[in-house]
Amino acid sequence: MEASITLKKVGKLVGDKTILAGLNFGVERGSLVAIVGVNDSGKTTLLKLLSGFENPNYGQVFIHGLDMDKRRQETRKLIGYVPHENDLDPWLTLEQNIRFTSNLYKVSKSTASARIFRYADALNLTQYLNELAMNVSHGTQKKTMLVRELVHDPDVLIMDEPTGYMDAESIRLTWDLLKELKGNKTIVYVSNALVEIEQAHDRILVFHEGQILMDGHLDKLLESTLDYHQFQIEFENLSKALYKKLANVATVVSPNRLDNIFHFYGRTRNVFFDVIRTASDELMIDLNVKKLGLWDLLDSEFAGRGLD
Amino acid sequence: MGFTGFRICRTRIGLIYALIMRRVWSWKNRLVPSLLLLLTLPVILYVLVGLSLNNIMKNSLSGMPFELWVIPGFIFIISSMGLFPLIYRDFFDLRVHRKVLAHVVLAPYRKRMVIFGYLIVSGIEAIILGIISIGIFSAISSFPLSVIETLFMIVCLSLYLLLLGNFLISIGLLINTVTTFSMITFITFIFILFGNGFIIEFGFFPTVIDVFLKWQPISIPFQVFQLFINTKIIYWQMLVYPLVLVLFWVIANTKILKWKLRH
Repeated sequence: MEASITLKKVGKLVGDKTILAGLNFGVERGSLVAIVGVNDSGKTTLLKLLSGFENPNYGQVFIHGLDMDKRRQETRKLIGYVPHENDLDPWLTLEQNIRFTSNLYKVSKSTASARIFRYADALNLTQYLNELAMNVSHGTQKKTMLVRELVHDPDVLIMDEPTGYMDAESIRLTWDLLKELKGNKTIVYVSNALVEIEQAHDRILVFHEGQILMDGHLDKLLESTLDYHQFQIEFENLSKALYKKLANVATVVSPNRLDNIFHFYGRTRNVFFDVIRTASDELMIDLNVKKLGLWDLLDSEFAGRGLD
Repeated sequence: MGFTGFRICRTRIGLIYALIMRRVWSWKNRLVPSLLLLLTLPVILYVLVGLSLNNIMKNSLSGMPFELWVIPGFIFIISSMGLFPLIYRDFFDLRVHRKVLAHVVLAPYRKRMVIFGYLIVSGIEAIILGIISIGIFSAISSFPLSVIETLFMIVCLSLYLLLLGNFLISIGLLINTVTTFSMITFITFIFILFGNGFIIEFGFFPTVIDVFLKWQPISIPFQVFQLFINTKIIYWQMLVYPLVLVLFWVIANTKILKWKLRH
C-alpha cells in the first residue's frame, strides 16, 4: 500500500532536551493510526510536526511523497489538524468558524455548505451552528473543530484527543464518522482514551521518551502479554511486613500497593495460589483477576522495563 | 512570470477574502455595541478635545486654522483606535490563547502573506472607520477639507496605518503578558495622540524632540498631508522612506511570527 506519511530520521529538540529522537516510520494511505504513551513522551510534538505546525530540527517529513519543508504550500492543503485545545474564534458562530476555514482553503460556497450539512448532521451539531463559539460546551467546540477541518477535505487528518471533552453520545458519533472516513483519509490521532483505541482496533504506535517503543495492531502488541494476568487482593490489613512477604514471592511481577490492596502481575494463574498460600493467615476482603489490556501495556513501569 | 504573478495574487485574495468575511461576521455578531462605539468616539473627541483646544489655539504656528489642523488629526486618531483592537485581538489576545492565528498559519499561505493580509484587512477597516468619522464631523461641524484634500488624506492615512499596523503587530507578537502589553499600549496611545502632530504641533516641543518626532516614520504621512494642505504640493519623496520601511517591517514581522510559532 502507498505511504501517506513518511518520517525519516526526524528529531525535535526544545532547548537542550530531546523531544523526538531520530524517528523513522511510515503510515499507509487510508489507515487509522493511534499514538499513545505517557505524558511528555512527545506525542503532541509529533502531531505538530505532522501537521506542519512546527518544523523538525533534523530529518524529513513527507506527505504523499512531498517533503513538508520544501513543498510547504502543497502539503498544507493535504492536511487537516485538530488540536487538543479549542482554537475557534470565540466571537464567531460555529458555522462562521467553519466557513472561515472554507474561505481560507478556497472551497466554493456550495461545496462548503454541502460538507457542513453532512458532517454537522453526522455529529449532531446542526442545532448549534448559529451559536457563538464561546457559548457552547467544550465537546461541541471539539466537534466543530473536526467539521472545520473536514470542510476543506484534507487527505490526512491529524487529531489530538479527537473525543476530548465529549459526552458518550458525541464520542460514539465521532468514532462512527472517523471509521466512515477511514479508507478515504489517513487519520493519525493521539489519545489517552485507551478503551476507544482498543475499540478502533487499528494500528497503534506506543511512544516513550521521544521514540517508538511498540508499533502494530492491538493483537500484536498484546501478544507479549497474553500469558500475563493482573491480580488484585484486598486485605483487611495489609501491613508492611505482609506486603514485603508477598512482594518477595518469586513468581510475582511488578508488585504494588494501594492502601490495603495488593496489586501484582503473574505469568500463570498459579501465581495467585502462591500468593494465597503465603497470606493464608490473613483476612482477605476482595479478589480480582483480569487479562492485560492496552492500559496495562502503557503503564509507565511496563513502558520502561517490560513485564519480563 | 505573468502566470506566477496571477497565481500569487489569487492566493493572496483568497486569504484577504477570508479575513474580510471574518470581520464582516464579527461586525454582524456585535453590531449594536460596535456602532455605538463608532459613533461615540468622533463626537467625544470633537467635544472634549476639539472645542476646548479651539478656544486656546485659533491658528497653528504656520498660520493654519486650528480646525483644518485638528479634524484630519482626529480622523487619523479614530482610524488608529479602529486599527488597534483588530491587531490586538489576533496577534496578542487570541495568539496567547492559541486561537485563530495558529489555525490561519497552517493554511497554505506564506507567513509574509499572512502578515500582509492581516495588515491590509485591518487597514481597510480602519480607513472605513475614518471615512465614517468624516461623515460624522461633517454632520456636527463644517468639514474643512476639499474632495482632493480628503482623497490625499486617505492616501496618507493608508500609509500611516500600514506603519502603525506593523508596529502593533510587532508588539502584539513580542509580548506575552497582559500587564506588559497594557503598559506598552498606554505608551503607544500617548505617542499616537501627541507624537505625530495630530493635536500638538511639533513646533511646540523643544528642538531636539521636534527633530526626533519629525523623523520618526509614523509621523511622516501626516506631515506630508499637512504640507499638501499648506503648499498644495505633494512631497512624494518624503513618502518613500516610510513606504520602504513598511516593506522591511512586514519581513521583520514575518520572522517574528515564525520565531514565535517555532516554525
